[in-house]
Amino acid sequence: MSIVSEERMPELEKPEVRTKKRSRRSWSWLRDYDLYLLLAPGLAALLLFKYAPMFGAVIAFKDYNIAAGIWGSPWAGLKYFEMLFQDDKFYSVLRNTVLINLYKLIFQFPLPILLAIMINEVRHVAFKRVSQTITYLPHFLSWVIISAIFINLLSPQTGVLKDLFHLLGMQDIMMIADERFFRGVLVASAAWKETGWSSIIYLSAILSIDTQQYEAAKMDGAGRLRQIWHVTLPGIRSVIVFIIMLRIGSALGNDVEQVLMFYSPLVADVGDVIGTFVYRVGFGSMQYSYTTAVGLFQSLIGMILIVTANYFSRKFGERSLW
Amino acid sequence: MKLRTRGEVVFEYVNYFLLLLAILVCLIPVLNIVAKSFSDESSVVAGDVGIWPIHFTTEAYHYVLSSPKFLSSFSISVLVTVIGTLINVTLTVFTGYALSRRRLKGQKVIMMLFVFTMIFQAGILPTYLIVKQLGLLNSIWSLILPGLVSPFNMIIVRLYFCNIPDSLEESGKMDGAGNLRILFHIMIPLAMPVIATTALFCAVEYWNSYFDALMYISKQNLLPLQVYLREVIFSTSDANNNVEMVAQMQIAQESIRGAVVVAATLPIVLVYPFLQRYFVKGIVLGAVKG
Amino acid sequence: MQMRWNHGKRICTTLAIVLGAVTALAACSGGGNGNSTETSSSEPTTKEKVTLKVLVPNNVAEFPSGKDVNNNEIANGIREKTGFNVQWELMPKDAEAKNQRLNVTMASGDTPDLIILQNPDKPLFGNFAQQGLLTPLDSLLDDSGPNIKKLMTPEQWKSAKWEGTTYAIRTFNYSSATYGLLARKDILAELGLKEPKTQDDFYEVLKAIKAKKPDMVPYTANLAEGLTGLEAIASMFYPPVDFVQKDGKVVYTAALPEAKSFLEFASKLYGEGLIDKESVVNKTANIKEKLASGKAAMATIGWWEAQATETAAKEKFPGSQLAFIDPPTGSNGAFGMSKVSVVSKYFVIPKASKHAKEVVEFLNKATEQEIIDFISFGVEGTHYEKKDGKAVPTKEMDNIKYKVYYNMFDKVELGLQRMENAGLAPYYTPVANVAKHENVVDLVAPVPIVDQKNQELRDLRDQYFLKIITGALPLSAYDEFLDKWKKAGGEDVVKALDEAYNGKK
Repeated sequence: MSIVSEERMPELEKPEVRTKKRSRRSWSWLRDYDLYLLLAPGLAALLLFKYAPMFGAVIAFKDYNIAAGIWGSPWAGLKYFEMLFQDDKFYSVLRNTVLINLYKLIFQFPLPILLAIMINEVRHVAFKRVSQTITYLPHFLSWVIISAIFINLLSPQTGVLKDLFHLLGMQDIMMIADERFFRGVLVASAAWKETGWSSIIYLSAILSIDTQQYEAAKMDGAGRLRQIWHVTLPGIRSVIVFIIMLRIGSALGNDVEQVLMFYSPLVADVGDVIGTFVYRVGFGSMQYSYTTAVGLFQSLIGMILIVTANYFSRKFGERSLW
Repeated sequence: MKLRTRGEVVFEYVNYFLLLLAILVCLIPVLNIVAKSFSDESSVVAGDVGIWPIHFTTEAYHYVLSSPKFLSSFSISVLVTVIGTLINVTLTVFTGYALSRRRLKGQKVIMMLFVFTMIFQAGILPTYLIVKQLGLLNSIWSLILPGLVSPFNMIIVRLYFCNIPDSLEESGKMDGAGNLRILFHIMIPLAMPVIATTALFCAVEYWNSYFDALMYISKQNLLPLQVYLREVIFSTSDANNNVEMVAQMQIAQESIRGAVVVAATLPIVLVYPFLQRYFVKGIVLGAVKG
Repeated sequence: MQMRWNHGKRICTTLAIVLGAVTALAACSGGGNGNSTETSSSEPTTKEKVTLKVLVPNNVAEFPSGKDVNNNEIANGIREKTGFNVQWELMPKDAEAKNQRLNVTMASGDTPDLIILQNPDKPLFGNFAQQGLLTPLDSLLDDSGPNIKKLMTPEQWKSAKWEGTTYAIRTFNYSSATYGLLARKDILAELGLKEPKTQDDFYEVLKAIKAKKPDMVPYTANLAEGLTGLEAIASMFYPPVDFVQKDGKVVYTAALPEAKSFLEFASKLYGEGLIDKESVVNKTANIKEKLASGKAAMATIGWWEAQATETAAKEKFPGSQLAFIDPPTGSNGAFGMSKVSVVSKYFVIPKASKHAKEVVEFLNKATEQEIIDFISFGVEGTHYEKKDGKAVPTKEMDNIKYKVYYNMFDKVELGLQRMENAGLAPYYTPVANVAKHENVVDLVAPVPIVDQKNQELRDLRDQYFLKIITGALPLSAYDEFLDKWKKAGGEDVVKALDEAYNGKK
């Protein structure tokens, strides 16, 4: 709280300054001084809690030692980055990370949009609300619980779907511990957990669409599907583009907790991602400099990807992210 | 009422059918957890419980709701969520609106600053040192302030403001309204659906977060509910060789786990239905705006 | 238009109220905070008493309402009996969070005066010692800790050292037992089978169960959590721990020729459906459920998991008898499950502490029998009665379960007594009887290369072993594993451990 009020302090001093200088045309931006005041507290929090700690990333270039502290530790140059690029394991981990994210982008990402549109098309208000509320329930379950649910579901001999597996002749396949299915299980469980939750953002975007547009489309004789195509989807396009860009930017990030919960040594070759790699390296042995270097590499690639994606989206006539 | 075409009727049926399917898929596992929490322990361990309780009992809830730790962490969570959401949403709307005005100098750079933090996150250690420097350790503010202004929410709000036609702002200026007046009297009422959405996102984020608490809070009576929840869920198998733990592990049973999950989730789940009225209002306002 | 302005005004007022409420609440909670610190500092602390901050492991015990970790009978009693104003703090329970928290605390320089680490935290102890974050204790122990020094043999003190200097104080745990073979004895009896004594017996028993009980898996395991679920089978081939002393040298058991025979046997069992095919996704909770619900007949399980499982099985099948049986002996005579070291805990004093001497004095005092008894059982006459030299708990004992947080120096006899009092002897004793093999890693001081590589090497082993057992890879892949293990530095780890255990050659 103290931070917020401190930042507000200039507010008290400013009015005087403003009246003096307002006459001068070159200070026209002062006319919007109140917009800057609106911005100030949020920006201050950002600088204080997100940017100030970033200096800590310097330990990626140092041999960090707790006793010596962040500044006192000796410089290591690019040692930890070289270590990373020379690690054979890193490349398989990188590949898995990118692939899992790509699958999620292709198969999981469209589902919430679809669900939002379907819910929006429901006319029965009570049903609409009930379906929204129920589909977003799984978001609140933690991965421990969800992994237990999926293990139970996919156990071919004792699980809920055992009869189905027998029918398909799959009674010996443990999908969760099978390299062929593991990534699919990750995508499916993430979809189950997040589809309803993610659809909320699209639903709220759909609400901002001018209802007259629907009337106009109806006048033209457009059916429901054509209304969706020509009015709803274009209306939420900016949100869709924003979320795609974010996903592209986090192509090297993963839900570590999810992977850890489904992980077993049998699927190490397809399921080990950067997050779990860092988790294991960092856990017993506390190699801070190394894990920070990995994080820095992840962020750098993410930054490049998001800037590129933003460039192309602008080229195709979308709004820039910034 | 207009006559519906055949295609329209088919569309409705298919839509209802698919949504019903989605509801069932999401609901059944949740019902299973609820059913377990109302069943007696041996039925749960034996794996007999489906979507309906067996040997119905509320014992697990008695245990959970009489636990002092549950009650204290529950109130901490409510406090953090309510205060945090109020501050956070206010700042998000302010920041999002300011940054949606193109004439604002430096708007581009500041937007980039926000986007950047979504990808580049500072480490635990330097963040801890900042929180410590500010004297926030062992205070609920350490759970609120570091999360202030989520870039994601801010960008969503900003997108919404950007999409509101400029003519509205101009007509406000014609009436002699300043920026703040325009924001409070024209923009915020129009943006209620998106504000409700960000409020929901914020509240859920505060409610579900636990790692900050584990780092910044060492006073047991200031720990939030999620910490308690995770302790109960993860409490198996590390009891290894500690007789006090073994004896007490018999308490942390499956049905109690179910009860804790239900008791810790229900309050936040109920936020959404409450906010849904703003979602409907948005439609009305949308019409007015045209 | 008019309508909209009104609406706006309403929102304005709402916002104003909200902001007001926030400020009010902020003041409120701030005040609350102040109050709580005040109460803790206004406790009866005389000037001459030094305040010692102690960070201890978390546990499941809850404090009754109105009490907390620094305000209860036990904490107050310890202050009174030792003369030190000890302030306790609990670590996070989550292992990852605990490690992070310890690290940030150390890095911030604002450390407690004493940290009590548990056995699995050994890498953390090694790491702190290596980075020079701990107070060397040798001279302090000589001056102020005579009772502490007497507790352990010089051999046992070795594990508290780092490069020859003592950085930790250690104590004893009553239990060295870990995993045992839990079986449905009633099923064995029903099918006219004897408890298996040899590898062949074992195989025949599993086969018989499979043939006569088609709905029951003979043996289930929690392989999703590692290889411990097969310990009863592995113990017929080699000591089921990572590193053992053999012929005067430390060896890695997974690299022994016996490991290959184990893989051959285990993959045969798996292939014939004698080991649960779902083992690879099972966690401990799943095998407990399978045993309790009659879906499985046997499993390797920790002794502490058995009571709940047996109770649940009894409720479902009143005639069932789920009990630990001895693991069979291998054809090469190999026998015995893993055993953990009775030396436990690391009491470390961060270098940033200004009260190292007082901490040692406090701990020295805490070794006294009276204090140990008090922490173990509470107050005689209130929480327990003495009968035949044994402590028999009264009902009051249930109200001080939180005493577990203050457990410092323990004695094996007292631990066993508490275990018996809790009714756990039927599960503990049979497992303790077959606990034979100790991991060399547990017996030596921390070795950096071991802490760094252990996890990676274990992952590699688990991956190959599980793939071979489940048939995803042929038995010949074992040689590939050995190559990769060597490439990953496995031999260096063995060498380092050998030097640490047998001395430099």
